[in-house]
Amino acid sequence: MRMNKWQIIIFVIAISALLGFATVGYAEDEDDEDEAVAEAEEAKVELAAEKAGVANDQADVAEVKQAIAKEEAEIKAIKAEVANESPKVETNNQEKAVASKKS
Amino acid sequence: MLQKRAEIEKEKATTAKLEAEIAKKEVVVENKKAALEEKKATVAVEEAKVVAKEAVQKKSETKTSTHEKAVTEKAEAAKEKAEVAKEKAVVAKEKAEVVEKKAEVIEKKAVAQSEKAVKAEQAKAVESKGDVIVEVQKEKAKVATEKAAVEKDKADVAIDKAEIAKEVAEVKKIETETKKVATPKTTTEKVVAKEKAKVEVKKAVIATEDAAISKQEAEVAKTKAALEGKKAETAKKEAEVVKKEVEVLKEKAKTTDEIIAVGEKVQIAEEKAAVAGEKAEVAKEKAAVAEKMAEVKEEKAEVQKEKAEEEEKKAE
Repeated sequence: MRMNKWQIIIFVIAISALLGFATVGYAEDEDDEDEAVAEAEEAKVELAAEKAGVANDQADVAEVKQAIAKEEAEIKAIKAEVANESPKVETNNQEKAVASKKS
Repeated sequence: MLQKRAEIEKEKATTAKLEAEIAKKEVVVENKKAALEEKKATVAVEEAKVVAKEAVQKKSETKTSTHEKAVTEKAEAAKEKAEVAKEKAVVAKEKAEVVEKKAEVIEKKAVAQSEKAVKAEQAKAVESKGDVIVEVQKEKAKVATEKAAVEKDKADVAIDKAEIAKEVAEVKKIETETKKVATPKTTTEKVVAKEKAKVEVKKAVIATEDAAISKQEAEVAKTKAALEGKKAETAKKEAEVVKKEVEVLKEKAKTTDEIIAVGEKVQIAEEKAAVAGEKAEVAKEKAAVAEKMAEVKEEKAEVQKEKAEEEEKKAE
């Protein structure tokens, strides 16, 4: 969905550039008609981009909802870690042994 | 080593608090964005009305069916654009709501992390009763989630860069349109031109607000990048602590699976630190892109203002 929006944006830019060239070299009446056609096409492309934007925003909302679920799971994990851990005295024999091995 | 573990937990608690503060700032930005989208929708409706009036006026001047069709299509697209803008405003409101919910959850997480840090500090030593195999599996899952988040951030940066290109194109389009603003001749043309100018003034106001929000967004992105940098540093330190903790765990490990899991613990902690480092780098790039976006939007506000002034001048 996100890449679609990107593609549409690039399309908008490309179309805008093409429309820039399209109106050159016509008689006045043809100019008016051509300009109107170009404007209509531009409006359609802009509309498509806006629609893609909304789809992108909807995807963002879904992502934030997912992030909330992830954060909630992390809270649970932290709480579980706190509940599962028991204090122990600093002069733990095992750690002393590791410390002495290292020294 | 135990003191170091307590320090890591304390650092994590500080980071979590900062994260909660950033989340609150994000809520402010999202609320402003939602309000702006509502304004944009209102202006889009007004613009559609003006385009419709213009279409009626232009239709009488058209000589070919192609010309007439194009004029009608432009008006229809403007009408539909207004509908889409309304939908966008609704989605923006929903986003602001979920971002607020996220901020609340992050705050709860900060509290939980603080409690963990206090406990670690008080005890100076904690003995995990948890299964090392389960713990390693959980850590692996966390690293995978973080990796996915980094990829998403990279995609976001790419989208933001494309958005900047779109905004730059719009700036050029507005500049071209400003040059093409014609002086209305007939009374009907004058009425439409005046209404058009009013819409352009409103658009300029919106563009200015948009630029201000983007600036604020860039500031948040900068703070976020700094936070990700701190997180990466903590992850590096934690990897070092894990290396030492593993020495103790090695003594405790009895089964083959436990021995393998203990061995993997260091590897995962190092991978976690590497991913955190990459996330911080991407966050920096994201902040730079956000800053560029704010600059482009400021330029857009400027040209939009000039266009509105030109339309007003010609309409009088």
